[in-house]
Amino acid sequence: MSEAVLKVSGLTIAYDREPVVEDFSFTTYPGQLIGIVGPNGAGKSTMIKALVGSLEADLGDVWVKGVQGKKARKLLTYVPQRGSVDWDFPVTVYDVVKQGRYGKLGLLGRMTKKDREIIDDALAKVAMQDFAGRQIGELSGGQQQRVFLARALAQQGDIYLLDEPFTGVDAKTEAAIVEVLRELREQGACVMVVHHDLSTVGEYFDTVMLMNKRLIAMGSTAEVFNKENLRNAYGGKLAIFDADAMAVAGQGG
Amino acid sequence: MWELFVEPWTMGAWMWRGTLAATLAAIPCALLGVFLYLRRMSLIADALTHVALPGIVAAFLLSGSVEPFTMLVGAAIVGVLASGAIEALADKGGVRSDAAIGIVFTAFFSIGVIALSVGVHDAHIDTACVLFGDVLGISNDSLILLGITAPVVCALVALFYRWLALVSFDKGLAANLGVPVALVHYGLMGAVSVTSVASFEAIGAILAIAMIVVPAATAHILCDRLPWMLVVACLHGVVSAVAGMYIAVWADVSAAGSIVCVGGALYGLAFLIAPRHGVLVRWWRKRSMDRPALPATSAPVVKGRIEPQPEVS
Amino acid sequence: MGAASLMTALEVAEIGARTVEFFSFKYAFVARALAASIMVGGLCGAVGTFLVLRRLSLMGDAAGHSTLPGICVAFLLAGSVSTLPIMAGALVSALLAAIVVGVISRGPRSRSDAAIGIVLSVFFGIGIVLLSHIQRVATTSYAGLDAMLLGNVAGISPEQLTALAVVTVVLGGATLLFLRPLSISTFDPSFAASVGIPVRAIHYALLGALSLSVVVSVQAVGVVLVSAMLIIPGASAVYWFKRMPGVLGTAVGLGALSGALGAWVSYIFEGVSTGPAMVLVATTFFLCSLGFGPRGGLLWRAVRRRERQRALVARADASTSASAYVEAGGGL
Repeated sequence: MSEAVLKVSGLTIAYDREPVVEDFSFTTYPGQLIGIVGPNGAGKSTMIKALVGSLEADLGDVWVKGVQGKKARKLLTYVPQRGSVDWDFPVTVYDVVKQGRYGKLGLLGRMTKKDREIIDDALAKVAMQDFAGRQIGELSGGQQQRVFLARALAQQGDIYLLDEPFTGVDAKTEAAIVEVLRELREQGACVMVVHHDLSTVGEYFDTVMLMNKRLIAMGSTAEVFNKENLRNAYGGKLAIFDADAMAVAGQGG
Repeated sequence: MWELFVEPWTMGAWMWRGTLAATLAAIPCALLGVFLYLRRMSLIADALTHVALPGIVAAFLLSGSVEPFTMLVGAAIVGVLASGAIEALADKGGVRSDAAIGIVFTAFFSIGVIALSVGVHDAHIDTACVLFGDVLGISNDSLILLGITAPVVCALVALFYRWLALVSFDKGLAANLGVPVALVHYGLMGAVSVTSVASFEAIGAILAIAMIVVPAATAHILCDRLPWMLVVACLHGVVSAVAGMYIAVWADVSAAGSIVCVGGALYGLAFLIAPRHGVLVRWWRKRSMDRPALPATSAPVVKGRIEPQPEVS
Repeated sequence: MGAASLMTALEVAEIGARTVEFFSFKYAFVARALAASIMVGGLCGAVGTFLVLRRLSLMGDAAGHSTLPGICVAFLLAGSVSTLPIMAGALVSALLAAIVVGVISRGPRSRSDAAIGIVLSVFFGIGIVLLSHIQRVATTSYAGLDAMLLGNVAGISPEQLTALAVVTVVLGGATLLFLRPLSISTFDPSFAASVGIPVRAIHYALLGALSLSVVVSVQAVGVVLVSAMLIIPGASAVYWFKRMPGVLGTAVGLGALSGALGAWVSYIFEGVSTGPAMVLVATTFFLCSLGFGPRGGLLWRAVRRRERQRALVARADASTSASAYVEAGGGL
């Protein structure tokens, strides 16, 4: 059994009286492709944001490869939801992916041939090489998502946290992204993805985290998607999810 | 006709000195202004330039000297304090960010004005001069100050370019990669404060806002890449400075005001006729595309250009 | 004049004497000044509340600065400093500025904050050019620069006071009359639009009211600080009340009080212009509101946070974790 890459214990985040994420604990290992699912408002994005340091958690500990704090966050590669970017910003596709190398290059480091290869490689993996010179405002939603994925690839980390990468994206792009994530897993990375579509969870991911403020279950889709867990997660929407639950449980990891 | 352009330079050293001062003030303002503009912090420039007044007064009251260097340091410190107060109010105090700017800068400015009129009786700090500048009568001290500030700011921007660009575009990634985001932010604020003070005698505090915001806005309409945006903003600043000086001499009006007016006119030009994004240009293009002569095509229209459908593999 | 010297009994007595003088309205100009300060404070407080809530705070700054070119043009055309043409010029200029901000905001690659900055500084630059021209050419000189920038309520003329009073009454009445549509369109514009409230028209009316308020207030507080009187009372009021009538009332009250106290301070201490004095009084009220206001004030927030921490820890201890904590095996 390989070393844990990410260990979280007792993570709790609250905006007011009610916690949004409560007593969240889990451990992940290299070579996992994990889908995080749950109803709206379940705290999925919030939990991810706390891991990368965008938010302050009220309680809990996070270890990344045995390290805590700022050093730990540098080991995580985060791809946020698309909404917050400034599309008017004067950068091209190539410029954005290049930013992924800044961590290694530092302030003044010159770009070497190796860096250029990594950038070109990342662009090729998401099929955006032909768009390298375009200003990012000229791209479609799916293309924009792919550029930010390429930037993450260029960082060459091995722990990825993606927040709803498939929202508002066309089918071809979705398939392309899944392929890239699978390749990352083959290379031994640990990839965690906040996902919104229950019907594709079994197909895309080998491990599933089902949550609703708390972690309800974590394991393969077969283990996690049983009636009781889904009821705990989705509460009163049982009637709708009965059929889905059967369908989902029928697909397997 | 040619004499009109040549004559002012022969009338005395003041034209040379004034134009030099204005140009030296314009360049760092333009460079810093680009980053403020991109981070949607243009109005913090408003705050920081006004706040430079209490900074100078504080420096004088505490040190008793009107040494330019002391004033710079005082302004930098007060500027950082003010921007810290704005951040604190906005993040922890629950004040809307634009209101926070307004509250902090008017409060600081008021303290500065009162301290000035009450505590400073015989110093050579003159409210009107501080606010509007006096570029044609610029002192040697101010020229030296500008001569040091401008290259230092340029060097700092070149040195920290990657961090500035990253923090302006995506703070999250910056933090993720280990860039000291807070340091960059307050460094930028300090640089703006220092530049404002150094530019006082040239263009004054209130008009420094124009030198910071307008070149950046103009450059954004014209450029798609950040390095070019910095270059165009500087060009805008320099052209405004020189043209403004000419107008001030020909029409016998305020130099600082003229510089700002030229800057505004250049922005208006870009707004209307910039090659890709100008309002009139877009309108004309849209009109010419509505004509039936164009062949029907299934290609999508992106920002006024017809693009071949990209291959999504 | 440091704080220490204020402590001498002699000085305290002097302050007392001047205060009595102030409030006994010994001089007509003092009565006018006090009335003007109170009205300016209340008026700006009211109009500014809507600006603050709609995130238009710095439009007040733009409006203040952009009156300058209008004032200069009016002076050049009318040849005198009489109230009506000057105010008309200021008003036209401020309205024009508001329109230009809107145009720029809808333009290419625009940012609304930069639009305000551009208009504010360029209009002011035009004003400075005209002002410098006036100072060279005109035979009657325009009243001191200081007064225009920083306010001098003691110098307010009866005509200016009348104009201020008229605008205060009219805008005050209009606010009360249209309070409901104003409130709804401020707090929830899309809902307001859906029930037929003319959101656009209200927006322009508000900008018009802003220009009017600024024009009549500039004499008291000056161009640079009028934005403070617009922003600070409104920003303070939200720490006390949640709903509009309370917020508006508090803003008007705080504004009027700041005006009165500011005028008083300015009277007592020679050399202190009214503008900065009013602003500092208003800022003090703001800091008190920020610290102690029941709705979001720092004191209450700290108390609530401690309660919340205690509750969370208690929950964590008491609960036997109901979640199925399944540790996934490594690899596949």
